[in-house]
Amino acid sequence: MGSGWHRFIDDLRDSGGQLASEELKGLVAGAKGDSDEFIRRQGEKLELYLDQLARGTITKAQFEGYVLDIRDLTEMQSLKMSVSARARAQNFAKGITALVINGLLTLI
Amino acid sequence: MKRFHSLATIYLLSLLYLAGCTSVLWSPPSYDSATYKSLTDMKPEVVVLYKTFADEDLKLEKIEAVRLRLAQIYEYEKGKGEGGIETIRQIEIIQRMFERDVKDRMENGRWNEVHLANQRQNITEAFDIAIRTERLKWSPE
Repeated sequence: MGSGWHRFIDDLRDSGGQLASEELKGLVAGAKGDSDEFIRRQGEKLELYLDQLARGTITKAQFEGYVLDIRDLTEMQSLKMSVSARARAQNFAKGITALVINGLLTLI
Repeated sequence: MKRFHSLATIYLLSLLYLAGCTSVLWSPPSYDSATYKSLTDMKPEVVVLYKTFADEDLKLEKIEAVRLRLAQIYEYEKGKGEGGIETIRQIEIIQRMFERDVKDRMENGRWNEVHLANQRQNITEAFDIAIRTERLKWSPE
């Protein structure tokens, strides 16, 4: 799937040097190879959208909307991770109370 | 041996201190079955609405109904205070995505198959993240 959009961005006339095409290719490749499932999925989607844009299946405005979606979803995922960290910390504190304070310390 | 006991005591006390700080600094995220139900009910409603975006006619009353439900969920979460700040932010993001999609449908006309599939995947994912976030409060990963 990659070669289609690779060629598409390589062929874009970029006289102002605004597009860092190699970095973009690297971003997609890096995300697709990430160990985190969420990041991997977003990388695959970004590649799909780039390919659809290159083939003319979607418009530039639609592509822009999908990219904003990826940004929004990533923000949501980050909020989820924050809850996960808080919940694990809370569980740890409960474990300390149950196992150490009410358990171990009553026996030694 | 005495030195080992002293170190072990310091370590244990540090651990207890940190655990104490944890609960003070971070208010515990509390699971709310009403939030979980609202989000799981809302997800298929929005997906069904998106399917109608491929039709010629725009179902304005259904868009308004979804808008109202999202606003109600948002107000409910906001009423809970700082403990549910992540869910409040997530609902704001879902509202933003929804409004962007509605604007797109209104300005650019009916969605084709590819566009519908892409849009549906992203809004579904947004609800899935919010639902999993709520579930995490009940059962941390």
